[in-house]
Amino acid sequence: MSNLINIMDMQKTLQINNLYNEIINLNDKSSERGLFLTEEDVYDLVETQTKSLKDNERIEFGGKTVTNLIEKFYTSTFMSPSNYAQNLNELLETFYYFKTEFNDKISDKDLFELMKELFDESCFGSIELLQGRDLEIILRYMKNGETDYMHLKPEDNYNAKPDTEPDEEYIL
Amino acid sequence: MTNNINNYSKLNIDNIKYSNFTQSLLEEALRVELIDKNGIEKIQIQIMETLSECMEFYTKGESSSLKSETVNELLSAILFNIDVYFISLNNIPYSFELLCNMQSKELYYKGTTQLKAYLVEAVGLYAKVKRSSIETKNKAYNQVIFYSIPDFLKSYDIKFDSHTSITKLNYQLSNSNNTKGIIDVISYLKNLYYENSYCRLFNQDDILKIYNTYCDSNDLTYEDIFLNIYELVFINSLFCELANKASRSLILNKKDCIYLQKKFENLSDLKIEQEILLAVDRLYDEKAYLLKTTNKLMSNILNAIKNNALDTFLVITPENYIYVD
Repeated sequence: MSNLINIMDMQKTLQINNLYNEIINLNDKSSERGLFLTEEDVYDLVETQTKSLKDNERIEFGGKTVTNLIEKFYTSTFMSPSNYAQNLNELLETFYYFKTEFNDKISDKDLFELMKELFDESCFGSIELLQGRDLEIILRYMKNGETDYMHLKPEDNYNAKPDTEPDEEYIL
Repeated sequence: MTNNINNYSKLNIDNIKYSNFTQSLLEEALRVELIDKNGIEKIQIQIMETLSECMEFYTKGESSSLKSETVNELLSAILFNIDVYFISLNNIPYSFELLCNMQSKELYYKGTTQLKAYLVEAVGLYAKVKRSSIETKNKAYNQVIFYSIPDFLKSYDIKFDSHTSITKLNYQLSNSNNTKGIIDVISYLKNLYYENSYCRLFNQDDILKIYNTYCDSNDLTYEDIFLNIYELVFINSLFCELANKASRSLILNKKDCIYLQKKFENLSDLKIEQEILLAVDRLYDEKAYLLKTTNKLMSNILNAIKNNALDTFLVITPENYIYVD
């Protein structure tokens, strides 16, 4: 799509208009837990969103994903004033990456829920484990045709799931 | 943003493309300064807001972001729906006024309503095409009529994928238009109906005979050949007319060919063209489509006559030809 009606040009305009205020307003809620984003943090977050969207070849108008992410994660016990802004940036990147890898077959709400649960319960606040281990395993599950990945629990030993089904000769 | 009617005379209609109406209208309006960059931006923002709303409907509110590829398709559908509405108005200045003053969301929905009417029209046309279809072993022809078109009509998505043209129209018609979506299908169906109706004027066994002869003499299989049956019928019917054969004849033999070659031997191209156009005039009452085909084929016809190659250009049925089904 060329010429006068061009998505890439317009996306930024629509995005920037209200997003800053919306994010800043969320400080009212998060500050109750001692968590606060400075103006610079907000700019970083918006920049991360723009970059992640570009890297994953996605388009979004407005900043609903950023505000939903903050609303979901500010309650995590693993968020502290020292890691709050950086964690949000990394979680945002994680979100867009897996949203694309899941081929849009998971809703925003479900992916946030999944990420939050894993972040709090099995990764103990480690984004590295969340990205490199748990979400990857669930992604593999999904690619193997499993549909009930929302209800997997670490105690189900889901990370023992092999990449592919075993060869027939090994099945007794 | 209301413009003086006189200003519209600056718009060069040739620069407004029917296949990309809204975009090209805006570009042309910008070129002749009927609109400035601020005006364009206002329209752009409205279209993007419509797109944003469309994304929400598309994902049923479950995703705030979508793959760029999907969003581009949605934008194409929105613009196509707006194009359809403007084209239906058949009034460029009024379309421009609406583009400047009406919400793009409203224009999009008006296009959607128009497309629903086109879909109904296409379904009606399809029924006529199916009824008028000829019996043939040609796979492409049968595939289009009995599978591709009905499948397309059943799954046509007016809201989110209206700009997508049918991809499986493997049966090439003699004349085609460069359009998109359901408009493309309507145009195809109208032309196919005309081609079927023309073929229906002739004995169906004769059509089968020239079709099979053509395949046999070119060593082609009856099923897989990419050939427009109407053109085959048209050319032979035209030369039967030129050879003064009985009305609605299709079968030409070697003697007819020699007679025709002699008939045109000493005539100038202009004279031959005149003879051909007079014969076309006698063929069928509805002439517009026949004339388009004639114009398309005229240089090939003249070349075949000049090079004494009518026997390979026409389908010449051998005297002892026995058709086996």
